[in-house]
This record gives sequence, structure tokens and C-alpha cells, in this order.
Amino acid sequence: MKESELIKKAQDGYKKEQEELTENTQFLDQLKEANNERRKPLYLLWLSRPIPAYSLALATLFFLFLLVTVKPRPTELIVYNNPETLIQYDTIVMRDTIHILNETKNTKAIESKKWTNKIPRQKKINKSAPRQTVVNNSEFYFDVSQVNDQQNLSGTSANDSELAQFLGVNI
Amino acid sequence: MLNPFVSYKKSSDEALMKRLQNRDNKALEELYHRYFKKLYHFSIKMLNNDTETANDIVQDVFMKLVESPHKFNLDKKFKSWVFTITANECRKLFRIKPMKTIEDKEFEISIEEENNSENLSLFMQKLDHKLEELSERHKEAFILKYNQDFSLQEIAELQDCALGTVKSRLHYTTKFLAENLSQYKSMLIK
Repeated sequence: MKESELIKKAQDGYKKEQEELTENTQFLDQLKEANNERRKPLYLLWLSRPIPAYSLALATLFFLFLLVTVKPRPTELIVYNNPETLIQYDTIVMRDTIHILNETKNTKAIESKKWTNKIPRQKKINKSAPRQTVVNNSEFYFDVSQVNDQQNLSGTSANDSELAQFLGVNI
Repeated sequence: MLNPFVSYKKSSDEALMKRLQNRDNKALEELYHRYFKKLYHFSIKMLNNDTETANDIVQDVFMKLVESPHKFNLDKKFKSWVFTITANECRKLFRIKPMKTIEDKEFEISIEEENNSENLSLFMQKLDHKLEELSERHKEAFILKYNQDFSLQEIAELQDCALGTVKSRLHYTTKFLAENLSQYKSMLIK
């Protein structure tokens, strides 16, 4: 008998024998039951791996805390074209100015960070001598104490006062 | 993360094992359908047609699979792994008790009276009988190659030997069987 012939017949025979075998379904059910018994519930996983489990829980609590307590800060400032440009001046120090550019759209978004950077730092005012300045349609009214202060600082007459010269008024 | 919508029938053995490691019963069922008959048949042949012992061995193998699926390395081939376990179990029994042998007179048949299908089964009985005369490793290599479609490399890995050794074993076995079964050639003529 040729070897190739033997191999072919052996393969046919093995295939036929294997097909004739039957599966044991009862045993398969037993296997499934055994597999189910070994399935770990969630709380056991918690106990068996405490470090990752507690880390996850703490991280969740932390983010929940942040979500509840921290209010979201505005990330952009919307400036409308209408009403018209609002310009606010201070008599001594120019505090802030809002320029409205000609925009084709109705709104313009400016990043809050950018906006705050543009605002010049406000000079410290001596609280011991509060100054009262009233602005009313290009007319300036100063408190008497301010004028006295200026005189004391300069030690000269009002004509030499820098403040008076700056304001263009004669005290 | 395992995809819950993937088809079990199209999944590879290794993918099914990964699911079984997460205690997936459907993966277990699919692996059982794929391998129960193969392992059972292999065990029967290795144990010289001792079906009861072969059944016990296959059941033990599947129980091990369920009890400790994490022992399987997902980078390796499942087929080789599961057959290695089965072959090891068969070898243990092979050493403990000598297998029963089939007498030659059982094969004294009237060829003219038998049809072709029965001839094939009788030929297979004779083949099994002759395989019993060979060593455990020769027999194992022959069955794995021509019954389970193992490659030579896979057999070498399973038997933990060189590729040349497997080739030699297969060559010797086929030559031995061809010589000894030549008298039954007429049984196979349609």
C-alpha cells in the first residue's frame, strides 16, 4: 500500500469517526454552572483590589465636589455694537476705556484674560485723605483738601501746582 | 474592553479565551462546540479506544479550563495549549496501565459481504491496532498530523522535540503502517 493512499484513507476514517461522536450537553450545562459560580460579584472585586477601587472612588468624589461647589467663570466678554460706544474717564487717572471696533457681526467676543490685561493698574489712593472729584460735562470740581494738599506738597503758590497746571484751572 | 456585539462564531479561540477569563458562558459554549469532539476523539485514539477514560480526560480538561482560565497565556495558540494538556493527561494514563490490545482474529472479515462504509471502519480498526504497536510519541505525532491537522512545528512544540525528530517519527510511522496494512488494501477498493 502506498503511503499517500494510507494517509488519505486514515484521514477519511478519522473524519468520519469524529463526526459520529456526540457532544455531552449535560456536561456543558455543568460547566456553565461552574463558570457562573466562579463569577465574582462587584463587591468582591472591591475587596480583592482595594487600592484601585478606593482611588477610583476618591477621584469620583473629588470631581463631584468640584462640580457642585465651583461656579464656572465667564470665559468671554460679549460687547454689543448697540448702544453706542461708552467711554468712561476718570479725571486724574484714566481707568478704563472700551473701544468698539466696526464689526460686521453684531457681537464681538473678547477673551476675559485679554481684556483684564488691557486694563491699566489702578494707582493706590491714600485713604487717609480721601479726595472727592466730581465730573460733570467737562467741568471739574475739586475738594478743598486736595488743593491744600497740593500746596503743602509743592510749598509754593497755586500757580506752581502741577495739578492746577495739568487741569488748566486757576485756583 | 470587550466588544459586546462581536460574533462568537467568528471569534478566534484566543479571543474566546479572553472572554472566558471574564466568565463569559457563551464563549465557553463556543469553545466546547469547537473542541469537545476533537479532544474526545484524540483521547480515544491515544487511549486505544477506551472511550470512558477518554471522556473523563476531556471532562477534566474542560473543568480545568473553567476553574483557571487565567493560566492560558493569550499570546499563545489555544489549540496547541489545550491539546498539550490533553496529551499530557493521556500520557499519564499510558504509563499507569497498559492499554488493552485487540486480537487479530477480530479483523477476520468476509470482504465480499461488507459494503464500502463498513470496510472503512474495519480498516480504521486495523489501523488503530497497528498504531498500538508503535511508541506513544509515534502514534501521537501521526494522529495530530493526520487527524487534527497540526503542522510539524506545532507537533514539535507539543512533543517538546526538534522538527527533524517529528519528521522522522512521521516517516517511520507511515512506512510501518503502509507495509503492515497492505494486505487490507483490497478492503478499500470500491
